[in-house]
Amino acid sequence: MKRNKQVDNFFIGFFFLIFLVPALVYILFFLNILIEGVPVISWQYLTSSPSSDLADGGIGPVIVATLGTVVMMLVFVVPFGVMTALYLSEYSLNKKFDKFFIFLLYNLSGVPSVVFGIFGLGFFVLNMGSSLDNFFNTTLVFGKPSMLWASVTLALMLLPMVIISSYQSFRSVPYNLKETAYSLGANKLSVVWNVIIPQSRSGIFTGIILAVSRAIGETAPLLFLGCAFFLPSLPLFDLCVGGICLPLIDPTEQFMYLSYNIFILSTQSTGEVATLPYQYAGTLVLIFLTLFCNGTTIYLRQRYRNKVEMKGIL
Amino acid sequence: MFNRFRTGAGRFLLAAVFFSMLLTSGCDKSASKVTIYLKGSDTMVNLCQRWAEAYMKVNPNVRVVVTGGGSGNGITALLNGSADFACMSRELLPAEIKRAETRGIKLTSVKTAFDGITIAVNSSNIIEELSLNDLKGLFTGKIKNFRAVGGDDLPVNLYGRDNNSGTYTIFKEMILKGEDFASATQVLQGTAALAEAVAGDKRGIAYGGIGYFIKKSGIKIVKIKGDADDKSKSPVEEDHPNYEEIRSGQYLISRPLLLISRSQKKAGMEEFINFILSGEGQKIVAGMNYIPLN
Amino acid sequence: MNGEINPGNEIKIEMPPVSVFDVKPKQKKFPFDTIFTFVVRSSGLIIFLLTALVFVFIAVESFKVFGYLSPLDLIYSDRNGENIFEWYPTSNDPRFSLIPLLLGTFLTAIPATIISSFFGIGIGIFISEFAPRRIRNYLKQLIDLFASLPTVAVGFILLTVGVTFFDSVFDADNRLNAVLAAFGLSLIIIPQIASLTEEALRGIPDDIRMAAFSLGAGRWRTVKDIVFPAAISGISASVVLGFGRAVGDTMIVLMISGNAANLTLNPFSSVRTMTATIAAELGEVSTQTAHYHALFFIGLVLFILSILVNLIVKFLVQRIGFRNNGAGL
Repeated sequence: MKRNKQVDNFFIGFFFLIFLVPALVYILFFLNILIEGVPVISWQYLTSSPSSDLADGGIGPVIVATLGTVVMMLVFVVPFGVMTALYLSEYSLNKKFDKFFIFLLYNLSGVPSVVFGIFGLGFFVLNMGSSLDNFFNTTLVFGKPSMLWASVTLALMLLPMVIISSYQSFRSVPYNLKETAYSLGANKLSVVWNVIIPQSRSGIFTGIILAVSRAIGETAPLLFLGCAFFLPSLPLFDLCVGGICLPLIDPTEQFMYLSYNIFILSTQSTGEVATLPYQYAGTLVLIFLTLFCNGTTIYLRQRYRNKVEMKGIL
Repeated sequence: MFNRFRTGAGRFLLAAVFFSMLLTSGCDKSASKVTIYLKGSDTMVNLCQRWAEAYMKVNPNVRVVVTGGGSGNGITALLNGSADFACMSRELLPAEIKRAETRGIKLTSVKTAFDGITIAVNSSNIIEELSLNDLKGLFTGKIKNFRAVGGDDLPVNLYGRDNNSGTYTIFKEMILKGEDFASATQVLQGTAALAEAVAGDKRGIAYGGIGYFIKKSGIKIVKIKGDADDKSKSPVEEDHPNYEEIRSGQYLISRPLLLISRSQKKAGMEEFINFILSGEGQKIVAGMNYIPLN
Repeated sequence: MNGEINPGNEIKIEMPPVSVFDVKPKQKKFPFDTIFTFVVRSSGLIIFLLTALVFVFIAVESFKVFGYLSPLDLIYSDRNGENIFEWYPTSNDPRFSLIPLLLGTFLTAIPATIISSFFGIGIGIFISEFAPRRIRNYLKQLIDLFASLPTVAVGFILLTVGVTFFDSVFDADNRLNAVLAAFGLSLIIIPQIASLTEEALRGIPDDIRMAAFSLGAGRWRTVKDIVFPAAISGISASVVLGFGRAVGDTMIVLMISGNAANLTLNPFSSVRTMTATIAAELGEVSTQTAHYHALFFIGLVLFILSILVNLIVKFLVQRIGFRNNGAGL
């Protein structure tokens, strides 16, 4: 028994060491970014335009364009993702077909992001874009890398994740809830709208926010999809309805993306020393945004799990 | 339950509306009419960006968009119409001229500045000068040790650019005479990364636009000579580029930096070119450690 | 009514006989339900077609490479009777061997998988079996948080700080090398493996541990002989997934692996991976060339690798289900 105890203590110590080494590396990693990045962060940095070799000024348009791209991606991802998940769980037509579909989705979710980049360039920009241009008789509005195609490609890349996450939560809605609703004379739509979707809200949101987090951190597919080295301001166009004009971000233009900006600054800026603090600050903002989104999903999942456990007890 | 979800959805919608308002309200309302797209050489991307910035200060209703990616990218974008100017750190290749002809596009090019391609080694390296032949041997991988070119007994680490870089192409043509770079050449994504790498690697040697190396600490700029017994020329003079020798071609690996556009220019492009060639535009060139036209 | 109304005459109104049991036909409701069903099904179909299109498009575009090259050209080029394994797509004498790129990918991915399996599984075991119960959940959440670290941030920090540090430790021939990239990859894969390992171990019911303890096994022996073997398929699935992520990552290898298309097995030399090749070269190639389609072919290879990874994971995960049922737990 005593030997057991000694062996146990030895291995507990050993595994603690294994835990400690990467933990220290992560701590150093974050300390490095925090120490170098925090002094630069200010309201002005976060809102003003980049200027002179990107070594001063701020990242205002970069952040707004990044969020704009993500919002546009969500416009594609959320309705299609949720409805496809609904199709799979509630409106399915053929079990075999569904099985194949889910198999495809699982495989697609594991495909490296750069492969979506070549698909985006090859299909969306060069095929679909130029066909659209031919159709509308425009010259290179759609047939060039732009924010639109970047967000569509990101959407395609992240759809499997949202679909699978929503699908799983739709499937986990207790069957008796649905049965009860049907027995009270509800039709399918109202069961879906009033029972299934509210019950699986947290699963849907988890998928969506995880998709946002991935989209913000992603760089590789955007390398060929319209990220610009330098844009002084956002690409805007005026949407006029009647006499009222509303400036909106033009989705057929090139844009700056936070993660791409970090990549390009760390490899291509001349004033290495002058821009270094700004690179750190950009990295800090990027990490903050992704970790914030990811933290939200973890919180949601935790809350959801607690709820399920509670239900199990009751 | 229905109500609860409705309010939830309502809240979400409200948040979305609020967010989109935030997106739109933060921007300056003077949505401009003319946009000029510059795309191309990474050597020129910082320069172009300075021009763009300065030009937009004088001319607030023009937007100038700058993208890097390499000269090859620039000319491709120009030919398929997604750029108005291709920033080229090399002359057009015959294949590219042919591509333009088959599409019926006439191109005009404007010299905007000169650049000396600089060879840099780590500051601990004792090499001071290299001949063109040495360079060819080094970068094709035939010379594997600095001893063979008059340095210490050190294996060579080559650093270079992607094959879409204009500097890559011009170096391959001028120095390697069309032969391929050694497959051991480490390919980095920008000239700044090259400078950074050589500064940290005592075996390193790299090539690139002069502006990226001149102020970098930890590296040494190598003098270049044609033949072993020629007098070597340095692209730098004290702390600025050696204007005379690069412009006159006495420094052997110099090149013009070009802005290439379709002959039929759209509104605003002529003025932008004039600005670049004006005193103010050329002052920016000098400020970025490139060589102004005169 | 055609007839005139004559005063004195009764107006005849013909009415059908009405019964109390007749119910007025219900007002036809707008068919929301049908429409919604249609919308949901068609959007499912659209997404199915789109996902299938990704597979088909990449396959079709990459097979077009054989219009320019023979399949053997993608393995080696024959120059004067010598077999050359080189990737020189833009040379005057273009060579398209994928071997150096494949080697580069494995030279970064395999060390990365080894490093991150060691630490990842260790951390997973520590959290699930040895860490104080109170902080277990917090540690797990912290690890999940790190799994989403943007790769470009890891690449940036390693490029500015890590390279110099590693150079002083290893003094390798190439400052930027496969091991450095593998280290960077481990930073994002360790949390993934740790989290999945922890979940696999947590899935083993506590009864088993209790039974082992009561038979006199210590904590370590319980882990080594009982819990770990029981969770082995879940843990190996996490390692395979980690490998898949190492193969698929782009930014870290693009920034710090050096990108020299060396034909080498030395992990301390700089290498060029398949993902980095696509990222560096796709922006510039003109369409309808061998180079363009060769890049698609690399994409197809990556695609197939990721599907293989997925299939293996699926196989392993199914085994978990089978065993748990088989053991009657």
